[in-house]
Amino acid sequence: MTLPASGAISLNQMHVEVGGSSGSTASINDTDIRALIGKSSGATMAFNEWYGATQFVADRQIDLDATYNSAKYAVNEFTNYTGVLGNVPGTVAGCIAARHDNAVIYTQGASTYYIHGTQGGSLNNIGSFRFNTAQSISGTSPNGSGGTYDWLRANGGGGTANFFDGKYWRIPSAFTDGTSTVHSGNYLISNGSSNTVAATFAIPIGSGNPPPTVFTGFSASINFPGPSNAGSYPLDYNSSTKRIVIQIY
Amino acid sequence: MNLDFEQTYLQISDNVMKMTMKPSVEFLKTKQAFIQTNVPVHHFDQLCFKAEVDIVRQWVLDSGFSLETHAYDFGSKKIIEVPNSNALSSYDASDIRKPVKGLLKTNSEDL
Repeated sequence: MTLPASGAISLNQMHVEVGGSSGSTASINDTDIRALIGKSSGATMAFNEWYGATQFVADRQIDLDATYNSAKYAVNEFTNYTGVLGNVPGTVAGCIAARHDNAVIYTQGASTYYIHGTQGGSLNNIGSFRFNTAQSISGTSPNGSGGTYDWLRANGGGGTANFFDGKYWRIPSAFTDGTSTVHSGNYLISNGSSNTVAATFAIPIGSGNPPPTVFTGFSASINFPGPSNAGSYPLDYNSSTKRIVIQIY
Repeated sequence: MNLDFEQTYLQISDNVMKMTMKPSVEFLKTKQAFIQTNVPVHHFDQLCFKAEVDIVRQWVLDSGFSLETHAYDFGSKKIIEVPNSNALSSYDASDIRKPVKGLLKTNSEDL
């Protein structure tokens, strides 16, 4: 319940708003109470700053971080996905395997989806993530010299390809009076539209390239230059964990 | 169906920003969202995101389309027919207009 927009307001109301029990001990400097209005610890605060405040509940988000040495996922709905990090299609092995971290993390009562990926401990110049398409298949193709070569690639998998259809995704932006410094726009997620791309990443076992497949799922293309190019990171980027967030709504 | 919009922001009190989206199509109404601003910046950003999406979804409905078959594409600035519409069953149209924490309210009015 939103706190009152005017008139009397009590610390107990603030505490209840953040999920505390009515009448239990609370302080205006408690982390969750301060978070209602974005205050730092020990900052000057007045009760009227809580007028109209509500507990924030995050919607679906995908967090990308560099905790692990290969792209992986941790979400049931993303039974399969393929990823390209830093334009190096070398993460397929991590993508096509069964679930790594079979954990769905819930925060603030909402689903938060964690997808981890990295390239050498950094998430600079992320290429794209394409969900619900990866499955390991292999085959042979002509090599142009009368013989064949073996290949292994990601192919249409068993994931819920349409799980996010009809929703939008974007990279968080830093708004200042209605403008933003890093705003990638809002992108519609739907099968068969702009998010259908040819998936060419694969691991050739021999020479040449495997035939492309068609991706039908959620494709999030993320590019940012990173510190080496003096570029900007998306809002919420964590320099120590290399974490970025994709919002979905 | 082509549909562009003008988007403006106005801080109307210490804690609230008014976001207005004015459509390029006459028969659709300008819509406003009142967004709590005294929150962490990444929360505010997501509230703006939600408001933008809620409003374009409402425009899709106001244009006589179903969210199961049509959607607004910010890139092409059009309401488009969603391919494979029978695959949209996971999208629950009742999601729209649900109260959003921190998004104080969204309304529409002629300006």
